[in-house]
Amino acid sequence: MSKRRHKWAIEFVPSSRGRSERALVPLPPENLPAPIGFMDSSVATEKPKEADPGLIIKRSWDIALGPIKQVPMNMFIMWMAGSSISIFPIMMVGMMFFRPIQAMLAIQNTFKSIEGDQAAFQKLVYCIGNILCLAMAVYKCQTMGLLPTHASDWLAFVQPQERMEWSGGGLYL
Amino acid sequence: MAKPIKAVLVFLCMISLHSVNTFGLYEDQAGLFDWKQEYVGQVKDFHWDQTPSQSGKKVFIASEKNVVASVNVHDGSIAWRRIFEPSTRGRIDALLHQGSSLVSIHAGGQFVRSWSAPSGSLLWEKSLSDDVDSRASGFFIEKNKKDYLIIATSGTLYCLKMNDGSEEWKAELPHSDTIERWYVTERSDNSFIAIGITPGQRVTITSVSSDGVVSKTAKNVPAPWIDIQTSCIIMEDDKHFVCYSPQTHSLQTLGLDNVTVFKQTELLEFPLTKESKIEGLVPGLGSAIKFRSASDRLVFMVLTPQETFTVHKVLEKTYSAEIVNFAEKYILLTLTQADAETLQLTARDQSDNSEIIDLAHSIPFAHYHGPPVKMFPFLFSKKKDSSHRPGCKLILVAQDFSIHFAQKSKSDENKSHWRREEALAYILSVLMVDLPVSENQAKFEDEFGTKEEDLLAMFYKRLKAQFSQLRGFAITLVDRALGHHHHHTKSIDAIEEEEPEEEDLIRDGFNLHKIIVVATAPGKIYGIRSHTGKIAWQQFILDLVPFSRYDTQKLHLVLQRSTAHFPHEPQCTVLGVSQKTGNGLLVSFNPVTGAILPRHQSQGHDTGFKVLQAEMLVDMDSDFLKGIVLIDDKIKFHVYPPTSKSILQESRMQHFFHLINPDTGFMTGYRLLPNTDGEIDIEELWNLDLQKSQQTITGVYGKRAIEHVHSQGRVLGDRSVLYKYLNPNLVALVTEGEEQQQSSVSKGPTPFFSIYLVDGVTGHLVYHQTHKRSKGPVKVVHSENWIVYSYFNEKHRRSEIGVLELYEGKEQSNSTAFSSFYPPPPPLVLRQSYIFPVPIYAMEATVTEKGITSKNIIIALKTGGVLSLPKALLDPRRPVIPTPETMEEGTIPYVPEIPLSTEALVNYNRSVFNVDGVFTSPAGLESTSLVFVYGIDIFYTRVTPSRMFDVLKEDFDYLFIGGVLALMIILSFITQKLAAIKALKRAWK
Repeated sequence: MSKRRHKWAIEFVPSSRGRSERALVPLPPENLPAPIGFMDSSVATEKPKEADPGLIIKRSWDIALGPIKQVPMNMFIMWMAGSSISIFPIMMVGMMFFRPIQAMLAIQNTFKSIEGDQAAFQKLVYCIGNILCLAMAVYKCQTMGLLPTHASDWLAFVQPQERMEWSGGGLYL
Repeated sequence: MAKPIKAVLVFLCMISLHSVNTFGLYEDQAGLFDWKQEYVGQVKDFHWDQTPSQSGKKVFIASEKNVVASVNVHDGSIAWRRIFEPSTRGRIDALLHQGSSLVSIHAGGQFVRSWSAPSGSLLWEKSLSDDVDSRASGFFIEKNKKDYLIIATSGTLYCLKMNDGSEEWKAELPHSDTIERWYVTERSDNSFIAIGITPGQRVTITSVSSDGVVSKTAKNVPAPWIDIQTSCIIMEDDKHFVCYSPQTHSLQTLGLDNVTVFKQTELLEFPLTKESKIEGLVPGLGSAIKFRSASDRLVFMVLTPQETFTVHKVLEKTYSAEIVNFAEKYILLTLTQADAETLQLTARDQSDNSEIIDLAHSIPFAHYHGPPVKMFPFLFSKKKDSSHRPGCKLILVAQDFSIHFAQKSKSDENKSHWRREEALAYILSVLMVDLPVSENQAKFEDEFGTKEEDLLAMFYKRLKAQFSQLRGFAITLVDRALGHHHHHTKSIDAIEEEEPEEEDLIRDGFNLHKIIVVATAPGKIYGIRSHTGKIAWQQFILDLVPFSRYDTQKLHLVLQRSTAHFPHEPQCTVLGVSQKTGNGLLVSFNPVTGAILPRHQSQGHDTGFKVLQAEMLVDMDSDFLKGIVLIDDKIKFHVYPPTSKSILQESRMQHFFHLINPDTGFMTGYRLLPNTDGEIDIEELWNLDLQKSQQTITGVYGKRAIEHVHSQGRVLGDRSVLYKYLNPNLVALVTEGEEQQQSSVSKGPTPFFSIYLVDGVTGHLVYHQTHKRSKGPVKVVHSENWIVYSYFNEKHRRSEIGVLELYEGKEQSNSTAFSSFYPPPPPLVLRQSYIFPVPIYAMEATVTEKGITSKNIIIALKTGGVLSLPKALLDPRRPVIPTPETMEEGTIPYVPEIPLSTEALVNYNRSVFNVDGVFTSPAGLESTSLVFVYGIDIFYTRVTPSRMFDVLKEDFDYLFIGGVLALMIILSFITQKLAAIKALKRAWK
């Protein structure tokens, strides 16, 4: 318990001068017994943080598991979007790519808020989650046939065959 | 990502296929990109219109191209034209005109047709004979004030009523089995005398009474020198028959009253040439004939009582002469050369030999028409002035088949003068040549074009080029500021509309305007501007005749150097046969200006040997010139120009040659091997026997050298690739033959044809296919990895189109090079045939700059249309039952018949007939291919097989879209400012 003394206090007793209902009155130093249940601590909020590391870990887990929690949602969107190539499915696929990439770019800021002794693991989980989301987006592209994985996708760049022999002729003129 | 692009392309493709109307033109686009010119052909028979009210206003022409036409005299336009089959069935033996009757006799009398002279509509038609190889003749007679027509076919003499063609009488003539041609004339007593010609044997003389009774006595006189082409004539007195026999250099005269034997008159007084023939009778001189001794010498010869001929008059340096009976005077009109570009028409009264000044006329006549061959004068008396002075309308036919009209008029010498370039109906080969870039552009090219130069010189050149550009810009600005002033002065002193304007012969932005270089059968070469159809230049090579074997005429036309190599002029070369020597004749010229190379001037370059086959190399020499390999009849190797020999020595490629002898049915492969002496040896490698005893080779089709193949394979529905078999040395051979049927119910031999795909280097037979009970003519298009051919199916009696596509498979054995010696595994051949609803004249595939655009096949239909058919419709992979995979691939479901959409006819209502060929050429725009259809008509247009994907649409609203864009930019600036102000205000609160 700290020995700090209060510099001011609000007196709820009307003052004799009647100038104001409330007035600051200097407290007489340590002549009042503390009320029942009074705890002389103004930094009560700091206390549970230090005091409850479990909560910190829980909150960190929330952050770390965030991307993974999106996976079922993404799966639903994927299913909903179908594999036709039109503006909405393309937008959805775009969003699916965009979000994990954005999250990965902002990873420094996110990691600041992850604390506790499991932080390293949680960071890993966070990364894995994002990569999973990205993988799902890629998979979606794959199912939509947007990935240049076939020989046909590179056909336009195939150079014509060089001619090794020249030949001419025909019917007698 | 390829897929969305592909998806979009497939989508577009499907749209374009299923709503083909997008290929069609809008009404206001008609004639914007296309033009058509109609021709008649070489004049065979000619008549001035004698219809009372229309006299001299029209002419009737029958031509070698089986056309009967009426041409307006005032401007040379065709009033009407009737085209007959190009085969012997359509051949015109005679065109007769008298009064208002016009009759054409075809194919030995198989058809006799009477035409309405003003409109060209058919009045009646009659079939008299089936002997198409004989020649029929005919003339008009008048009996009891009715017009009759006498026609002699090979076996019968007919008398037909002129008004409806009904038969008055007919007379069977003797020896109808051997006689091929009858000369008939009416005698003064209204009976007829007929002289029949049995080629190589004899002449038969008989007479027919005026009502069709043949006299019993037919007299035969041996005449072993006579044939169907011999120029013969019955003299004016009807008592003598005279022929010119080129073998004995003499005139053969036969008295018809007391027939004994031909009497010979040796022609020694003047030289005889190939052109020598009897041209006609000379009226007003008693019994006299006009005999042509040479192209510029005519002789009048008079019959003596001893039945021989004496020379009456020799007209030296005279191209043509006619004696005309006008106003009871015999007037001799002669045509002579005044100077290099002018002809002089002189008229003399025959009675006193005085010149008639009114008819004298000097006619401008360019040297590139060759000498005039014939003239057809029409004399009339001028009604305007009371003196009734004579006037003359003159039509000339020149050696290059051109028809010229000239009429003397007081006001302006050149006013009434036109010509028709009928040689354009005889086009044999075509090229489209890029126009040169403008002067400024050329300077830029020049900057990089030369080989090695120091930095300072390059800098100087750059400065000079940019300065000239600046000056050009300033000049155009000044011109524009001065308004149209400049234009006016130009139009006043414009001499001839065909004079090429310098600024016109410059490449346009998309390189759509080209020079169409055509080589024609009479030896004339034209440069035609593709956007207007006007003739930019023309050259007439007197000695040049086409190669001709088995009735097909060929001229080789190649572009040795394109316009891309600026300091060097472009060069085109025509290879034909020299008329004099029979050797190969080369003519090189600049395809843009038409200037013949100095050493080839007017005569061409005689190679000194007979050319068996020629082909242009693909490599260029140091002057950017591609050499032509020539093989002579002793299988010796030559190169033109000889300096190009170095190409063969330095080239990385090996060179091979194949020759196909249609007489023996052998295909022989040779190797061209540079030896140590710097010469080229030719070495026989292989032989392929195509069984001449059973079939004849009718065509050999290689790939076009200018063709680019952009895509090396085809994407399938499962996104794998089917690689194309792109053998550049592959040639397609077509053989046709007849097969004897073994079965007892045989109805004679059945025709068949085969297609052989042969590697031209190794002689390896890649593929072979036979179509039974089908016959030609087989038209073949060989492009990329496919062959499309049309034929006639005898079994089902319909036209069909077959297609072969060759694929290597899903793996490419060698992706970098193609060598025929290490060929990929035997290709996968996909084949299919489709029913085509109409017969076909000719086919060709479109070709574009880079080969990205899908291909269309341009088909000239016998109904007169020119169809642009997407190759996707002729795809052997069209599935019978469409599956998602085939839909993904974009193949159209199989239907046995090719739909003929009228919107896909690129010539809409401008029908073209008797098409000889179709030529396609790439334009500067990838989407566009230029099409030139030639035959009796010539037609030019452009097609866009994948539509105009590389150009904004014509109705693209630049203003609106630009405006919206600008507005958006301005708005975003303003809102940015406003937002900033608002934020500041809020911060101050």
